[in-house]
Amino acid sequence: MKTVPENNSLLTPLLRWLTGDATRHDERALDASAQSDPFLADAIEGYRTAPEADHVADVTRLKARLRKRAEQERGAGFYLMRIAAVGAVLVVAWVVVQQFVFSDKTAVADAAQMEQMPTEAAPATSSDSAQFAIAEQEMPETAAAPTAPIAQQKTLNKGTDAAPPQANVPSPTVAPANDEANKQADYAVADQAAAPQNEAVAAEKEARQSRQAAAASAKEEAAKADPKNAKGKDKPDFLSKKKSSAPAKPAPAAPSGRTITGRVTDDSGNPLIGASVQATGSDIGAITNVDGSYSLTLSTGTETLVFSYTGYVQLQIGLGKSDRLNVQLANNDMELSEVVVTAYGQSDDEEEEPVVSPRPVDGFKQFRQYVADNLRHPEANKQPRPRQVVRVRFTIEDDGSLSNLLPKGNAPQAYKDEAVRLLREGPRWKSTAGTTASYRFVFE
Amino acid sequence: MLKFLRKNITEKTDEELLQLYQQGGDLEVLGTLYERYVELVYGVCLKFFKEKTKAEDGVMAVFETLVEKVRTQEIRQFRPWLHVVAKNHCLMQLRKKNHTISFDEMTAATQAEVVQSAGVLHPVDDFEEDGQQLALKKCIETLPAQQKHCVQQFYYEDKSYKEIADTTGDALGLVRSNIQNGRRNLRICMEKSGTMVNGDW
Repeated sequence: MKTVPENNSLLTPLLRWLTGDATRHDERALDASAQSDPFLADAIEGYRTAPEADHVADVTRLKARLRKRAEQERGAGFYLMRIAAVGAVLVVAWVVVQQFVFSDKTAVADAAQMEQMPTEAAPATSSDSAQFAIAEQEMPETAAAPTAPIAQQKTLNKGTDAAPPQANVPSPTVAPANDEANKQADYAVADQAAAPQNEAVAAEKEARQSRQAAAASAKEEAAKADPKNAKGKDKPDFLSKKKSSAPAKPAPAAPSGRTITGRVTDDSGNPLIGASVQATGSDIGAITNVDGSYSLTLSTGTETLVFSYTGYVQLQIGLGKSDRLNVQLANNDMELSEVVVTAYGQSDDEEEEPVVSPRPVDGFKQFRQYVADNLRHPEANKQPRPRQVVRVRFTIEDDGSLSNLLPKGNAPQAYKDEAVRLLREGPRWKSTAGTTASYRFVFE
Repeated sequence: MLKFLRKNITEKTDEELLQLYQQGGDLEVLGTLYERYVELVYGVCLKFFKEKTKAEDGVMAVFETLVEKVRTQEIRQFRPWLHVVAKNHCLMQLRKKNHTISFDEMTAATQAEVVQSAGVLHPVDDFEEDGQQLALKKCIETLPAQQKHCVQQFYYEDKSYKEIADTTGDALGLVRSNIQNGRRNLRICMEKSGTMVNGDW
């Protein structure tokens, strides 16, 4: 998560509460400040409606989504400003040149030539220099940012589709300059995921850019000023990359520890973009990029990673020896947050095979249907029917049967018995993600 | 010039960012500003929608309304202003969704909630008299095992949520839920035992 700006230190107690660092003193202080801060009071109340949720992961994912959104429309306005700025520079340069030329022709002949050359040569060489610039930058980036704008746009949309159709949410507004927007999104995601250990690379790149910018500035500027060129393919590339490296910069320095990399996919092996990977007990997290990859440098002592994605089973996996952890999340295709499956597994030393989250053999949709058809509400006669929640933790045996069913929650025993019965008599499960899972039943 | 701006963007105050956005219209500036309040806005949306995905969409939708509103409205202080905008957005959504609930009813409902949650019981801290402490101890004994454990660890051992989760091996959320439910049960138990001072929490 990003560091909190100082003028927002009011938020710190809430953040501590969300990450679980809060003790009773913190919580008391939080409640006390909520008394005089209605915004905070509302927020806490909201979080308390879902104490079980992993709020940190949700907020992290949300921030990534927001950044993507904010970058999308940078296009038009930004380029205008950029072009204006470049224009101003050119005017100044021209005035300077004029001065040299007219004030003392002979003495500064050489200087004038040097000054003038770039400006004059600009139209001819601009594309060359642009390409050169790209080539330089592409190098460190290629690994992290695969470019498949169209495919990515598609998958992005798919990602948002997973959320219920909420009228007000604008589907990713595609800026007039389609290609550019896509690219920017590309890099934003890639940067997000790779932020921690790409820092050095980013810094280096930045340095190189400024050096290069200084060297080729006159040529560059001339090229940018030319509207035709600025809209051309190469230019936006250069601009957007330079910019997308900026958001990654303020991220806190990565703590020393192992770096885990991997890929998050859905049932059919498609990448899940923007899935959250969170180290438990810390605010270290990452978001998967366009091909579902993530990279996460952990602080020492982290043992478990939590993978989550809206509409998919949340998977909690203990780290083994391998630093490579591929994960396959089962689609939970739920609009309501009534079904929460949390699996506890162990990463294997045999890398590339993804860890697959547990699921009923026929999938969750079928399973829910089974539950709906077979559930007997223990207090069906009461008006209104009491709402009770039972979470059952269980072990999946090799043959897919369930054992060690352990109901949790505050519901009366009858509810717990019913939940256990449903699981026990229900379909078999499958999983390669270790053996323990839990399923949440809601009686209404 | 722009690079310079960007570097300092995270250090600027809300009001400076507001001004910057009003002048330049750079969404990244607005995004930076809004990001500072994502935790709060998300919480507010959770309160009203009571559902993760809807709340997340709410946060995004509020951002969209900001894009326009910030440009056209005069805002003296961003934080309280944003609170109102977020709340209004949620209420409007709920009203749109559910035509049967009138606006008045809804505000009444949310007010009731606010009153109910105005104070959160903090055992140990909130009961100082011996008699109360004794009753409290008794009530804690009646809690389901998990809640009891979590409440004791949290309130008597001064453990953080995370520390408790680490010792029990449960998810953080479960610990949070146990403590929250434990508190609620304690409150009910204390009310029954008649030891509460005047229902002042």
